[in-house]
Amino acid sequence: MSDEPVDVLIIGAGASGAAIAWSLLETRMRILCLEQGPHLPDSAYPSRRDDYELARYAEFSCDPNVRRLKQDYPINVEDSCISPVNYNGVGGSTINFLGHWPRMRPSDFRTRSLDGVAEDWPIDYATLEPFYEQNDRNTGVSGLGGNPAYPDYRPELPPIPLGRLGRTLARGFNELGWHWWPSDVAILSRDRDGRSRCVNAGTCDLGCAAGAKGGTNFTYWPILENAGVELRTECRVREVLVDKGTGFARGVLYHGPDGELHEQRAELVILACNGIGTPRLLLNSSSTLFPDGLANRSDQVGRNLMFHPLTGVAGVFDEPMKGHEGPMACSILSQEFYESDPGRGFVRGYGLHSGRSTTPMTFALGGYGIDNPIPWGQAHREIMDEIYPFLAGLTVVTEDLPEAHNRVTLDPTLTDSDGVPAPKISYRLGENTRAMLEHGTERAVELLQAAGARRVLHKNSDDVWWRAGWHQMGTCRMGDDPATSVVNGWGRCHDVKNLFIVDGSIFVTAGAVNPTSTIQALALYVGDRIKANIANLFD
Amino acid sequence: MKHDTHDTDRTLLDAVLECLIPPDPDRGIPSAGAFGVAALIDSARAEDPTLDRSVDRLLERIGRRAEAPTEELLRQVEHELPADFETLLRLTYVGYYGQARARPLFGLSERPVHPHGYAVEAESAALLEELTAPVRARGPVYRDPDGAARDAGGERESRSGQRDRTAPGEPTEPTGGPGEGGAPEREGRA
Repeated sequence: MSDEPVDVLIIGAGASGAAIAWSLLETRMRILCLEQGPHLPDSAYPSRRDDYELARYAEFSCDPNVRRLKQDYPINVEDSCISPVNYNGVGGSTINFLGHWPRMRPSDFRTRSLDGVAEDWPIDYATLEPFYEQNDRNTGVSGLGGNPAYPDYRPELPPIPLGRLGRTLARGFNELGWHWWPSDVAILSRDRDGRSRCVNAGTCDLGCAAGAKGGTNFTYWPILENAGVELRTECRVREVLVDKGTGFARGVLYHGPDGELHEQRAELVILACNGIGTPRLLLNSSSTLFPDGLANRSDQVGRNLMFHPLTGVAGVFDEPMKGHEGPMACSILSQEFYESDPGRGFVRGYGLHSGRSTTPMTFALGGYGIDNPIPWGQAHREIMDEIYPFLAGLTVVTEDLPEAHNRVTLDPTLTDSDGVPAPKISYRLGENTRAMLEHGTERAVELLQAAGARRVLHKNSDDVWWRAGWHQMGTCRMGDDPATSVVNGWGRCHDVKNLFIVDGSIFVTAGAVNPTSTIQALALYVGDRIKANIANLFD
Repeated sequence: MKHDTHDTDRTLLDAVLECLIPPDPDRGIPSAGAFGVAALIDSARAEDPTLDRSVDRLLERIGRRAEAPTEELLRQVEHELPADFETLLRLTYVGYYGQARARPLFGLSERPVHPHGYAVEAESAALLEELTAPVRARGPVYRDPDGAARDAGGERESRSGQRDRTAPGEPTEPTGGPGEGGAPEREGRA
């Protein structure tokens, strides 16, 4: 393992780390990526195994506090109603994400101007649009052009099948005159670039063995490694080092596979560790220059944590919905209630996502991301025989507003397997979110009835999905003002001019859509800005 | 070390499992007792002493009663030992539904994993057009404040504010849209 200095050091081989590495390839700079997890071959994915469902509750749980693998860091969630979920390895959480790929909308970047809440982004939709398009080409996206919820764009591949479930719900939306559209997905509907199309196994969360799902282990990393980007796995960064004289980052200290500490120097350091891991690393990198954590003179590192709180509503139909056939999360998406409407009693909005039903074991244990086993006894018989096969559900996915008290800090005692302090999450639902969840639940009930459901099942709107912390945003937000933001409009830390952040932590607002498409578009944008400003990058 | 449930315990455990997941003879669906779940629970107990103690406590409490397990009796025990009961319930669901042969009983393929999956026919372009026609007919439903400014400045004429009134997959023509006014085309039906 060489400790020669590199030009660019990227921490994290997930969605954003891979994208910015690709963007910087043409500079011919020496690029090194340190990833705390392994490079898991697709032959090891549970989506090839007959007992695949068991892995969902063990080594392939989305929850690091359940997996407890060596590369996972524990997260203290005692003070949160939502538990963050992730995956650590080459590909990061794109290994076990569900591939839903909606873009953010133009208004998402202007919530202060339009709706008087949160802050405007220093960039807008049009700025990101070419990078959305580039990233879609790099990833392989299926969908249907002409969605009236967006400025026009055209996914390259035709949509994945809606299935009976999607068609049934679509007709319900049409009955009410509400917006819906086939979901954009980072899942191939046709073979492409040596990757096979989706086989509708419904095992997206267990690693897509076909390579149909656009995990960066299938999309970016083969290109990057062929091009000479060095990838060191099972290397966990403990601390970003700062030169006391210049105030610049000079590299990192990391634990190698041997557990020993190594120093890696670099001209440019890029953090791509997600909305929990990045603030954790910065807070763990305090020094005399930065006693409250690196790049944290604004006291904004770790604050404004946003998820997408969600709840589910399910309809029971007369015919089997075959919800187990197809990608888990994606069929259709309604954005009827996405934009603000003063008459609703809340600002901003939410999406109604069609969720497919899951396998019998996961359903019996409460559903994906939920720990609440269904009833036993004769009631169990009725649920499994008369309800489960006939289910079609909607998930209410709300926009979370940034609130300073929702934050990531360091736990005083909890550590990972290398002894690095673990993050602690403090998070509670805002009143605006509660109002959205209630409104969304009522609309979902209305829709399912319009679609022909003979019975509708839902929980209290306060009962949000526990393992819903896929989308971790806002904890190192962008902005023009160094007093209120961590990075500038192109991802460079205000306080450390050779330190960049490219993951979801730089989001200013959350929108109400899955963020990976935007995370990667942002990473490509930041890469583009680095190249454009290369002559005076650190001025 | 392999955990072997004592014969009496196994009989009792099978009877409890019969109550937790009862059979549906009309559909040919076996109970958890008849589906071999007890053996799987034994395996889990052998690997995890905490689980083992939970199940032991539960069976001991149930075994104290003179009568054979019934749903009513188990509900009493569930009330008395909720954590242990949930442990057994989870083990039962995992042991039952985790078996590949259980899946066809509920409409799934026995081995739906890669590379098999499910054959699902894609909707035709005509059906997609028919289904999306009402949505497209309403026109844009988003706000684009920057689009308005850009369009006024002539910087970006073709990206935002296009209305799509064509069939899916066909090229579109710019015809104006929310960029003209920057206001929602239509909101607030709820």
